[in-house]
Amino acid sequence: MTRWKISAFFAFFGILLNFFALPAAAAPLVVRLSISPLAATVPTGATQQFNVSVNGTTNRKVIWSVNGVEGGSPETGTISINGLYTAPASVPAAPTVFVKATSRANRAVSATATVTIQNPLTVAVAPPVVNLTLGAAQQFTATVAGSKNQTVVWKVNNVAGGSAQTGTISAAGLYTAPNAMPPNAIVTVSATSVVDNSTQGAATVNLFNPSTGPNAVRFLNQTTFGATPALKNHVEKIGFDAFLNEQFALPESPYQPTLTATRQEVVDRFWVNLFKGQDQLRQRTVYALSQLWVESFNKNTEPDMMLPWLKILSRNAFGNYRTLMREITIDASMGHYLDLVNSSKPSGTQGANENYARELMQLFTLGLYKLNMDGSYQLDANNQPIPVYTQTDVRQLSLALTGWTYPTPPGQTPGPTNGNYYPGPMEPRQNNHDTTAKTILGQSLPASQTIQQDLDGALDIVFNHPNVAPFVATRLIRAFVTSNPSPAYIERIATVFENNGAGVRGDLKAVIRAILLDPEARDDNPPPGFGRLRSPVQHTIAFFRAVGADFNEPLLFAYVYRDMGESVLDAPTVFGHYSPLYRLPNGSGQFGPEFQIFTPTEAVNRANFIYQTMNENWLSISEFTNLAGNPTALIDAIDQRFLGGRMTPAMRDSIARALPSAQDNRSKAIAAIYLVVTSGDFIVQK
Amino acid sequence: MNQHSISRRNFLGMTAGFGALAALGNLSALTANAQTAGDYKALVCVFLFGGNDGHNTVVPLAGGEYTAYQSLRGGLALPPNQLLAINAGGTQYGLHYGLPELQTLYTQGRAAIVANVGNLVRPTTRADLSQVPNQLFSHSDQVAQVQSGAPDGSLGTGWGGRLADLMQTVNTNPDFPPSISFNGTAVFATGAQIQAASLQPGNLLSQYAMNVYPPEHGAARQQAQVEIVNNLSSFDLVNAANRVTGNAVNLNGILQSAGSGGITTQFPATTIGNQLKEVARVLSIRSTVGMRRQVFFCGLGGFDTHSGQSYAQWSLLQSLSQALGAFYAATQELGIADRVTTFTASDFGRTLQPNNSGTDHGWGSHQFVLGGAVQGGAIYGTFPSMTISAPHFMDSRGVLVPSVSLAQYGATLANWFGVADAQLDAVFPALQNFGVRNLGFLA
Repeated sequence: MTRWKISAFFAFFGILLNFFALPAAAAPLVVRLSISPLAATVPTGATQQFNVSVNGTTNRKVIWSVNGVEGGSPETGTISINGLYTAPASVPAAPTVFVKATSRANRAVSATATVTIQNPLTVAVAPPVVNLTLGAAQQFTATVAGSKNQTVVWKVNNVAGGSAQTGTISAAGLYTAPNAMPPNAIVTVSATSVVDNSTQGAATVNLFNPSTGPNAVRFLNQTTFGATPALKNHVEKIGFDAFLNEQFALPESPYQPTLTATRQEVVDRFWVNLFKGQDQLRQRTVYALSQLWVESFNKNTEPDMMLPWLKILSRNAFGNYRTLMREITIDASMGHYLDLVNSSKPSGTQGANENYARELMQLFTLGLYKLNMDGSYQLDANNQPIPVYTQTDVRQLSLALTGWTYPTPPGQTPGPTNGNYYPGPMEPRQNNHDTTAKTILGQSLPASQTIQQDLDGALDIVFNHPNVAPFVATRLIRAFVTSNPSPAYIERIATVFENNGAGVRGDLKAVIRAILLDPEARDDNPPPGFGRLRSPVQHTIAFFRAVGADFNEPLLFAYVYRDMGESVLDAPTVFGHYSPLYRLPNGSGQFGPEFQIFTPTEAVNRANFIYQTMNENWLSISEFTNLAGNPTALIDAIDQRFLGGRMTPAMRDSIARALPSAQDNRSKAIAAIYLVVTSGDFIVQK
Repeated sequence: MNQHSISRRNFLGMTAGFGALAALGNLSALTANAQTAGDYKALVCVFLFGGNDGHNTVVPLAGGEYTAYQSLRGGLALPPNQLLAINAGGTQYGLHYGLPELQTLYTQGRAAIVANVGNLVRPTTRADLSQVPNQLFSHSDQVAQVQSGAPDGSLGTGWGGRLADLMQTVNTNPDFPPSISFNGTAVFATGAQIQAASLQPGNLLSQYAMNVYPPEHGAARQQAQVEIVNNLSSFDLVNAANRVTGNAVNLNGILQSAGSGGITTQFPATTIGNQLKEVARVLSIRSTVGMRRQVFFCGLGGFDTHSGQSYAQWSLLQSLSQALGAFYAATQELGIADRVTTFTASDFGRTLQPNNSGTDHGWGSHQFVLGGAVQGGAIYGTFPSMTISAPHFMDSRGVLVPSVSLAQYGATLANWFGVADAQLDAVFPALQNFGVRNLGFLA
């Protein structure tokens, strides 16, 4: 028996009750009740008004009940004294319930309606987000809840069946991406229930160009320290997504033991890891994080004051931002660098050290001004940006972080405060911790907490501030993809930072994946503001990787980067080598952080260094020299290798004119490579 | 609406019409200074990165004040016998013992001190801190604000660069950068119109790749590079990068012709010594390259002495003093000591009360002005008394509320440089909030 038949049966039964009530109340007046509607289907949580008409008595009052319980219950649904029925939050074990009105004048007389409770009508489309290459197909499924009728109408960007421009979809939900990129690379696939055409579910399709040719090169230049022929072949074969999965799974390139390496060895290892670590994406992330959570040999002069920090960045590159915050905050290397170590509760004329508290908020997590999710400033009534924290917040946070001292060296006795010793996290000294109540960013920490409670409480307050997601999203997009992301791009990434899809906030792996697979990153026809200037380290390493250079000896040339504005691991201040807010020196207002260290001086120093390396025995350009007898073949090969095959005709012509036939083939190759590698087309990753 | 936003808006409104202002600047400069072939002026900013501790740079020696200083400074107080005595209007002060060259120049009347100067929105005391610059204690903000000359630091240009903008038409060579930083790219030197350059001591921007045999092959490469950087790309960042390389090629030609400048003064081989030596070299070719107004920026870092201040500040001030002494001598040698004015600036001052072995971020601080045009041997502004409850201290940690604004300090320098009074508000948006527009330390 179907549900509908049950309802019909009981509806009929309700009429019978009324009928039999007649003779029981024969004198002086016959009380009669009728209820409407007699049957109803109500979605969970929804309401249904029942009306009752009372005849044969002046007492028109009735008692409403559900399954015999006056007023109903949360399990079966409730009913008000005016007959408004509210269905329960979930479908009960017996989905049909009885709403009964009983006459107060004569409690033997009642009328009953049946209510069938069912889930509301919804349509869910799976999978909810798909990254799809042009021309590829994807099967979607629609699940209709709240109706037996599972039939849906499939649409693409609200057009039934889709279109050639945005992709087509079959009646069975098979979506086929268009062959050419539509104006908007983000397409919406929806399924509408035929039961109610206002009810639909939707999925997002991010359309990608095929992971081949220039698109593979662009992707690799964003995810690694420079595309190589081997990696290009690999990405063309396995695709973007699988490449990221491979990279996420690779083991970390190692650093030296903390206590035995020299400073030069640390700098060399850092550089070599960036240059040829197999875990290129992790290295790219470590490099980005090293410019966000800055420490520097400038103040942390010894290797054991820098290695712990590098290891934390590497270990947490694909981890959670909150974990990274905690590990760095209490690491002795950062404790030394920004003076949190031995910062004690106020005593006499001595206050808590405010340096770390301020930079934690300003540089590592929040920035200066309140942000919207798309990275734009919130503005006050006078159109001014709104500071995100006050000096009071800095002081309160600095109090919450008091009481940490250097680790106790092996074999020594812990002191009230320890002397300088760097490997490992700082140690808590409750006696030096300020135990007053604090208010940070409008959130309270109660008095008398332990040092660890205040640490975690304070870090939670900062980590959960709404600025963190757009702040970190913007920084990382600039580090990987473009100096001038659209607000929508920032918001998409900030949204992933807030929730990785499994309810986790601050999942860096999810954030990095989203940044690199975002349609704006994968756009094959990007807007004029797209791209980012390669830093000196990135520029030179991209060149070395492209020509297949290799090193078997310590490099000992990391010092040359000082003259390019980027002393490796030796930033002049906690703001790093360049400001993330630096704008292009052309008055356009566009961002170009790396341009702060790219003036004529640094441009020439980069070029001269690259030129000199072409004469080193660890770098061979013979494959290009061998082609140089034919300038066109030479230029083609250089175009493919360094510019992904996108050299402009004008640049081709200029290079060809710079290769006088009297020149030997090696000089021709050097000249052509030099002109390309020092041009804006190579220096800008785009 | 507060004054802060008024001044910012006025400023932004004025920048929109900067071309007209620049033209006006040229006209009035010509009238005011009756241009001659010998007309030349340069401003040299020496930025003390990290926030120099002014409390130990200039110390009051008069009885009660020194005692108060000593008790508030605790372990960081400098003993009287380590201070280099100077006289200001009959009152004794002491310079940090790392500053003997500056003591000499002060005594000779070639150096002055501007007391308790800092970044201000309007005249301010502890009683009313409702309108103060944004993010007072943040390095990056205060560096940006002090260098941009705007209390909210939101301008993309610096006041040195804007002065160069206003005076640029006085220069006869449009290709030589009128604003040069020897300390990497600096907001201070960045103008709205002029192209600021960053140069390194001893680097003439020659590309090795162009220096090949035979020379025609190098010339062909150079020609190709110029063509490539002049091609317009569809990517803005590519164009911006190519423009930098194009400027490098132009500057290389100019610098190669400069020579050594014929300066015999020995400079200390320090960070700041090398930078000021290079400024002197560029000064030596001022006529050759057709420059009459030039702005220079030099920098010395490490003043953020949260700990270990005693040694660190001594080492830095010594390096500063030696370099400034050599630089003044070099300008004498070039015969332009009265045409070159050098001044210090910093992120901010530091707390009078120490933390442990260092000091934390403050606000107002003392600065030096140096040159033949300086009315030296004097302290300008109001030297703060060492009374922690006085209204010039912001709080119990001894953060100084500046009594002289950066805008007044800069406007005095700008006025000497040749910028007419009417144009100063465009360079210093907060200046309109202050009555005194020239502090009088320059003749």
